[in-house]
Amino acid sequence: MRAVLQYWPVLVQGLCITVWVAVWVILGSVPGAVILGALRLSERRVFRLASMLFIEFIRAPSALVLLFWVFYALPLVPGMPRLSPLTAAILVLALDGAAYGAEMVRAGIQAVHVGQTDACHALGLSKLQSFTKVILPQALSQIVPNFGSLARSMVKWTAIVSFVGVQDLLYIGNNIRGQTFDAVTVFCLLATLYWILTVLCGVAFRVLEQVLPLNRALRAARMPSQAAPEADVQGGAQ
Amino acid sequence: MLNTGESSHSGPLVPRAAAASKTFEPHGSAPKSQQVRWAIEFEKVSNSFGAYPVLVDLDLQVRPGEKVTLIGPSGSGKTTVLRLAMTLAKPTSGDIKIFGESILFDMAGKPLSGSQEARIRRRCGMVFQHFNLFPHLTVLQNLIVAPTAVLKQSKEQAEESALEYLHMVGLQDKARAYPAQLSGGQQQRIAIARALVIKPEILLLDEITSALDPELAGEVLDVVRGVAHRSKVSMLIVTHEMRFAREVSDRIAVFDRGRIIEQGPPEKIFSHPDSERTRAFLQSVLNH
Repeated sequence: MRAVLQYWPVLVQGLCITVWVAVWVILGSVPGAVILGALRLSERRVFRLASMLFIEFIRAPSALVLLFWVFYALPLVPGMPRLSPLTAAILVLALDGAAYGAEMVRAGIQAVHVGQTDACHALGLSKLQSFTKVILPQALSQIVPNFGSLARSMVKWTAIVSFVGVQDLLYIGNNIRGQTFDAVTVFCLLATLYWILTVLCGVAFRVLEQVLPLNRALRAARMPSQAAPEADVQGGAQ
Repeated sequence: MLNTGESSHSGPLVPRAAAASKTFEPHGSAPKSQQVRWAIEFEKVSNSFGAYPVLVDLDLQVRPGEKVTLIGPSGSGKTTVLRLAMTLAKPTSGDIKIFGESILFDMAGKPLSGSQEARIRRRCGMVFQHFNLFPHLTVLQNLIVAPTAVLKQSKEQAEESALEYLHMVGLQDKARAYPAQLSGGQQQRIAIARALVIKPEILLLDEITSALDPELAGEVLDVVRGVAHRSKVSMLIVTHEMRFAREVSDRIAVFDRGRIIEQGPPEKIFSHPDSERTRAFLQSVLNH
């Protein structure tokens, strides 16, 4: 136990790398998920099909295989760059997250009542305006809770980056195990640290849910007072 | 457009040679002045839902400022007429014109692009049976979405005129409330204000009281009566409130199975309709 704990500076380093990768993977997957999810519902068949094929292509292989492919095989293709382990790992995991998140976005958009789209059309809003001002803000109330559990999974997926030599929590843990031979302590410690990270991630998403526009509106409606004082600060209608 | 139309009218008063030497009167400008006779014009419009015909060769015209109400049994195609005029649906055949401009085809007969269509549909506003307010926005935000996003007004300017319209529907104190905090009648009055704030020339009202209790329907109809009597907006109304239809309409069109079976001033339709089917329909709705 002692022997393991004296490695704490590198453990903290590893933890930081894991958090860094997780944050970028989650942030990177968000725009990808929104764009892919919206294209899944495009009026143009080409977009729908392309988006579906892309999602299936990303989801089909194991994330680890995809990572190995991008890291080891991609540079062998003429004209393709050799990515650093960290870049390759973040890219692959963000794409994976985007592919899974896209289906959540699609479902969230479809859950918004069709009358909302009609109203946007009747008010003269363009398709993009209705999506960004009306449909997506409401769909978020459906998407974010699901995306929260996806994000917790993504935190755990980050462990695969150690396979291409990124010195994350798992990589460091494995090194410490090799030097101390105390596998029990090392892996209990790692499990605890991952648990803390996923719980924190869950908390962050719970907080995010609270500030979503539709949730705020519905909360205000449940309160006995008539008007929500903070409503105008939000400025969702600009 | 209007100017060329009018100057061609004055044409015959000027000696022919003088007119020819001074101004060039473009040929074919006369029909243009004719086109604006109608705010909305349906020309041989048919629409079907699969094999089921919803509208059959519909011809319907609404004059600028005229209030026309469509009545008839459920499923007779009334709502479809409004959805077609708002470009929420496309007809299977025929053409629809808003102030003389087709909302389906350009001059060359090709389908309109999105932006061309958007420009024309800006002249229409619509109020729906289920209000369709944006639940995540406050009342005031609901009213300024279109003015800021479409008409490019500043936020202050949009809010100022939004408050005027809220005042008109008697709900200025609800500006900061969310739709879910309002009664159905209040929500529908907000929806009317939201449709009017973009200053449409044509207002389409689709069974706006059908989802409301009778006492709440009353307050909504009062608002519409006010608008109908005060403004020059053309209205195309679908309703099951016969008393209301009689009060606000200049003309009533009776629908049955996708066709207009009879149309005329409300007094005539309600007191001595020509068609037996109109009589039967009115009897069924007025007798309870």
